[in-house]
Amino acid sequence: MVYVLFFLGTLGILALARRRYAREVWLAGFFTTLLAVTLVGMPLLPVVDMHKFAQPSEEEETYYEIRMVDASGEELRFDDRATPPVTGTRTSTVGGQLADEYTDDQRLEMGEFYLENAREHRQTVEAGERSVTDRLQPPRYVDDRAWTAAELEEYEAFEAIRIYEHTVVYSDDNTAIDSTEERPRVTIDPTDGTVTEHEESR
Amino acid sequence: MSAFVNYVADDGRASPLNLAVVRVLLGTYVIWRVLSLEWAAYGEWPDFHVDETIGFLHQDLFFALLPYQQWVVAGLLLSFIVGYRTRWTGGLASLLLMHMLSVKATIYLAGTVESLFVCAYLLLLFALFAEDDPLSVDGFRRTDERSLTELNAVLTEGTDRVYRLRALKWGLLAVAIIYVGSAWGKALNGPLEIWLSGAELQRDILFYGELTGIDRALGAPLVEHEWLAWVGFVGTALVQVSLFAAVVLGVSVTLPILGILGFHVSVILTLGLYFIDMLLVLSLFAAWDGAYRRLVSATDEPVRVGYDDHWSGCVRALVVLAHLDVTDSVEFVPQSDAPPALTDREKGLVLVRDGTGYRGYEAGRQLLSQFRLCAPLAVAMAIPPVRALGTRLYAAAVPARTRSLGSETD
Repeated sequence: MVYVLFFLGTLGILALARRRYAREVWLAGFFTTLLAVTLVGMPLLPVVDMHKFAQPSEEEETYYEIRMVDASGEELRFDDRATPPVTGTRTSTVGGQLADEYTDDQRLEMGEFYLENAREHRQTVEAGERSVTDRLQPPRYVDDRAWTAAELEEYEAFEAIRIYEHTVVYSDDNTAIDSTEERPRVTIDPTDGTVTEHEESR
Repeated sequence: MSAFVNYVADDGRASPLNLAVVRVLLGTYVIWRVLSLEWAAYGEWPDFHVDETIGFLHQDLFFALLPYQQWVVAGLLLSFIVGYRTRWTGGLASLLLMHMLSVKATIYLAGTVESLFVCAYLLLLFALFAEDDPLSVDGFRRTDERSLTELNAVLTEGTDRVYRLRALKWGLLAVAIIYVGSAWGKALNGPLEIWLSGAELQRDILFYGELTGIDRALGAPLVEHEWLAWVGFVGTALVQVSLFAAVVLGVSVTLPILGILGFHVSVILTLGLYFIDMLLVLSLFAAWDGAYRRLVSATDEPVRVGYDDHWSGCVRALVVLAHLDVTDSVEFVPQSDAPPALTDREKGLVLVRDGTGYRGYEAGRQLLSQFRLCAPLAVAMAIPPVRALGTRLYAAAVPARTRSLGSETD
């Protein structure tokens, strides 16, 4: 509702901008919202805040990783470039949902989505040519590791995705990661339509 | 002169140049950014992967339109860049962009989206205060509202007027509030103790190194020395708050902005390529006019320009260009009472620099090169085919009245 009002209101103000108080009303509304959103830390689109890296970390943290599984069972870390616009932290959220929240149907649909995009992206990487428009792209937000053609050569066709849960424990003085533990949670194979949970590994 | 301008303390400047520079920078940057995003891909995500709080934005139609809307935004922004009908081209581009970003946010509201929102707010402020911006196509169109006598007076009397740059004033305030939010967010979510040690930053660096599998150049020293991490953590909050403090207190924002730029660079070196759009956003508040003044005053020789003060197209164009003459290096002399050396009834425009006279098209070209910002344009105008075409266009533009008058006096 606020969303629609914002757009209609702004259009109105643009039309009446030269009238007395029109712009003042808009500015008052906008800055009130911006201040409120900033104080509370919840975006009210299209007004956003930038509370970044604002969640305090714990001594032990968990994240989820999505890996591709090829026909011979080999695993490869996922390249987020295949599924724009997400980056690592969001992929971790999706991984967590795949492990714990989604129904099997949803897991298969999401698995299919990931596989299809991964295959497409793999083709682009293997083709190796960067078009002129690619070169003109701004740097990627979060410059994480990309797949390389050489690396992909070692793999057969992707057939499934597997979700890993990682637990990171920091050392007491926080100067290093004391231990990392990874355990497979679920394998989703849309090709066969199977979902396998790996509960036994706990 | 400071490197950055506190427009909130004083939105008046001796030159309107900063508005034009920011308009071009912002418009160009947003076009580049918007056309580089993979709009077509967002609709492919399964429907259940949605931020429920803004679920109403997750409509198939909205996603289907995104790839086309990006071109509409780009088109509107091209017009915005030259300052043509800024109120509507900037306003609609901004609203459309905000909508596209909101739809994208149903998939993922990341830092790129948020910083583009900031760019969209600035576009909108430009639209709201469009009439502040004389160095634009609209500025030229608006000269039509004034009589020839008034325009001539502007040229001959020179201007010591003050220009208001309200879009930048409100834009700076918005940016300052958003940065306070970055610091406030940590206070809001974290326990008080996180301010007393560098643990938070150490863990963040370790965590993101682990997550992305990349070790950052400056990550190791901060992780190894807690006090460095503490300085980084507390320093970040301080510079983020300092901008708002400086803005409200009306003191120079140069140090706060340099501080925030430093913070962004260290984020890139310790955590990765985050928030790079904000580097552009912050640069918009630089004192471009000061840099320009320095550039021209070092190189410019004064010139005298004789112009046909009855030729309204010429007078109107000169009035717009005169805004670029920040060092008063150009003396405009109306030909109705100019010495013969500055008069050319047939060509309309005469420019004399260092004893050398230029006429007509060439005088116009020389005048543009006088304003260093237009120097590339002046170089392009010297290329033979451009010159040939330009000369013909110029000849066609010189009013017939002038030519006939000229032949009578000859």
